[in-house]
Amino acid sequence: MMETGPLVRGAFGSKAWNTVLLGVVPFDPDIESLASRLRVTPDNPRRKELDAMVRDAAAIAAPKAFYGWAHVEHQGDGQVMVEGETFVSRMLRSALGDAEVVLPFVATAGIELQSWAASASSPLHAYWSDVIMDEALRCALTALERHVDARVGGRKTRCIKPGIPADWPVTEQRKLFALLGNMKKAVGVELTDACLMIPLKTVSGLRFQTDSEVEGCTWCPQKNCRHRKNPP
Amino acid sequence: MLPLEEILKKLHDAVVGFDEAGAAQAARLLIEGGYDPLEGIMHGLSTGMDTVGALFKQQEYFVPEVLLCAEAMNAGMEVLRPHLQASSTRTLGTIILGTVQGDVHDIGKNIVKMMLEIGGFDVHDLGNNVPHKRFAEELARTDADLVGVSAMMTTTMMGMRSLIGMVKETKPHVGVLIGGAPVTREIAKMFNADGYADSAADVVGEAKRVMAAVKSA
Repeated sequence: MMETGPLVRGAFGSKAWNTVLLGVVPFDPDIESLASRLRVTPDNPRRKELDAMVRDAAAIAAPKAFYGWAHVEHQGDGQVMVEGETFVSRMLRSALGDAEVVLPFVATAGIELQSWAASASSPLHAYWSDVIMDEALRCALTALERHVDARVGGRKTRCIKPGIPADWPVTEQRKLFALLGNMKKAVGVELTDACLMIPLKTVSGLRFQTDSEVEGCTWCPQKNCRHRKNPP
Repeated sequence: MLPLEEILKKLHDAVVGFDEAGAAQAARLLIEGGYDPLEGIMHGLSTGMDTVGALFKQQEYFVPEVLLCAEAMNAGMEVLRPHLQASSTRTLGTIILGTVQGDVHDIGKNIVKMMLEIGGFDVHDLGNNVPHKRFAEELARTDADLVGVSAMMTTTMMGMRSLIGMVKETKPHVGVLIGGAPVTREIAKMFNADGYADSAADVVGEAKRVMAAVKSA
C-alpha cells in the first residue's frame, strides 16, 4: 500500500492535522466469494466472463483513502463543532459522547473502476461491475480502519456518516469536505451540488474512539445489509 | 415432437433456473414443432419471469438471480423473435424512463427497465442525471403513456416534485411513477405521482395500474 503521511496540517487544504493519504490500497478480490454472491456457480457458462471481469477490475483498480485528526471544539445541544465546522445532529452528538478528537475521512473505490464500469454492455454486467466496485470500496474502508486503529492505539474506533443517521443529513457533507480539504486532489473525489460523491463508490464520515458498540449501522434502515456491524 | 405444454414448461423452468442454453433449446423445439412463438413468449418465458418476480418478492431470489433469469429469457427471446409476426409485437404502452437530474445511480433504474421490457412495455431510456428539459423533449417527441423516474438520494429526490409538475402541466394524461431508495408511498403521494414501486418486482403491475387509471380519468 502506498502511504503518504503523516502530512502536516493544511495538506490538500485540510483543517485536520496528522493527515494520512492511503494512496493505492491493494485490491485482490476473492473470485470464489464474489461468484458465490452473484450466484454464478463454477459450471455456469457465464463464469468465465465473471472471472475475466474480476481480473480486469483488479488490474486497474486503485482504491484510496484519506483521513486526519481534528479537535472537537465544542459540543452543544444537538450539535458538534469540529475545527470550526458545526455539525448539526442529535444522534452525532450522542454518538461522540465525550470524544475530544475525531478523524474525518474519505474512502473510495477510485475513478479508475468507475470509468471501467461505464463500459458494461448489459444490466447483468453493470450489476457485476457494481458489486466489484463495492468490494474495492470495502477494501479501502478496511485498510483505513486498520490504519487508524493501529495509529490511535487502545480503544477501537467506530464510524458515523452523514445520511446515516437520518438526523445528520447528507448536506452536512459540505462541512465534512470543508474540513477534509481538496479531496479531488488527494483521492480524486468530488462532492456535487446535490451532495453526491463522485466516484459513486465513495464513503465519507467521522471515525472516533468510544467504548460503546455504537456504529453508523445502528441507525441505518437497511437491516439486511451484508456489511452490517450492529444487530438490527 | 413434444406437446406444446411440455415445451412451455421447459421455457418456464429454464428461465426460473437461469439456464440460458436450456431456454434457447426449448425455444428451438417450439419453432421446430410449428407452434406459435408468441405462445412461447407469453406462456413460457413471461410466466417464468412472473415466477421469478414472485420468488423475488418472497426474498428467495435476489437481484443476482433475477438478472441471470433475465439473461435466460433473452436467450429464448433471441430464438423466437425472428419468427414473430409484426402484428404480434404490439406493446402494452410506452414509458419514458430516467434518473432525476443530479442523480447518477442507475443500477436500479436499469433493472426496472429490464422488467418493464419483459413485461411488454416499450421503454425509452434517457439514462441518468436527466434534466427536466430532456424529459419534456421526449414527451413532445413520443406518444408516451407513462414517465418513470428514480432517485437514490434525499437531495436529488426533491427534484422529482417539479418534474411531476412539469409532466402534469404539459401532458395531464401521462402517468408518472417514481421509485428509489429514499422514496416512499407517502412521498409519492405528496409529490402528486400517480404510482410508486417499492421494488423492480412491483413495477410492471404498478405501471399497468397507473396506465389504466390515467386512461379512465
